[in-house]
Amino acid sequence: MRVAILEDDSDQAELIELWLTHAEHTVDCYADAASFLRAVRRDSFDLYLLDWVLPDLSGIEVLQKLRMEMGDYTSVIIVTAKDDEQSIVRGLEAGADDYLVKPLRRAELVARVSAVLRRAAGNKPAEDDLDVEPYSLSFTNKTVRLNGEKLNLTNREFELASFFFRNTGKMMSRNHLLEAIWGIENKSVSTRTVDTHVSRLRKKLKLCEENGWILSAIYQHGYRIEQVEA
Amino acid sequence: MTNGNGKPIEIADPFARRLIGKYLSNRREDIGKLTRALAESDFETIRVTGHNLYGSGAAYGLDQISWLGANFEKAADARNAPEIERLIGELTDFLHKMRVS
Repeated sequence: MRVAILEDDSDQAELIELWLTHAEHTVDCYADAASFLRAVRRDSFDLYLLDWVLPDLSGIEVLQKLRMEMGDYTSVIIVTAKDDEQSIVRGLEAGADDYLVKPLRRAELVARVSAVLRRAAGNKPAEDDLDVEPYSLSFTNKTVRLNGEKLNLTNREFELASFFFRNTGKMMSRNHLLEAIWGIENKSVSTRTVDTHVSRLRKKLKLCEENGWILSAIYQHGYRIEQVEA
Repeated sequence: MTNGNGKPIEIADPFARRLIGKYLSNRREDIGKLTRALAESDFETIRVTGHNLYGSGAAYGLDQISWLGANFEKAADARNAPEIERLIGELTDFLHKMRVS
């Protein structure tokens, strides 16, 4: 999963990055709120780890901006040395999904990250079939049906479709899609490949208002699938 | 690695072990930063530095650094210059006696 860390102390950021990378997450670190907010507006992540005490804005202010701009689809953990009850309540009431007190412990951090990501995925195992009317996705057969009729998709297109439907309402950057569908090791694939596949997928799935789903391109950012009134 | 009394400190986390040299080098730089801040009565810099020491120390397996960090924060909040001077001495002594085996 893709994780963005906002932490101004480079020693702490580096250690957290190593821990989460070892747990097979892809991690980007930012030392101040301004660069973090610029990055999250052009890219997409599955989870944000926010320090509270920062040189420019506070982590709480950053969290409020994330919630305002991205809604509730974003998973956020506050990571701070502030350990008093009032601060913990304030962090959670501001919209954090979890709150971790420093000094951090590796196993606990990794476990909490997994728990938040699991909750965000609706506690569904990745292999479960997915019903998103009028579509139904079977992970056993790697097929998508529209109103019961099987659509002709390649494996890659199926993976892309299921990734979009599992992330309904979230802006997914091209880099995020590349990593999730083509694998982070695959450096030979360009973001144009993503555009080509998305365009083909949109046609094959017949994504349009009539079918209740649209897949929009977000200029210079990526794509977002949304349910609309049919 | 040894603590101030020559007793070995075990850095259990393999990732922290990988970064510990750089971490300790940065803490030695903190001594200069804290000393300058104290000379200028810049208690905010001392508070923030203490806050970061508190947050990072135990994560790297160095509980003493976290303990010192918490005390730097308290002393900075109280604008207690003699206590800050004493803590700088304690941090200096701790780092000076540290040995990486």
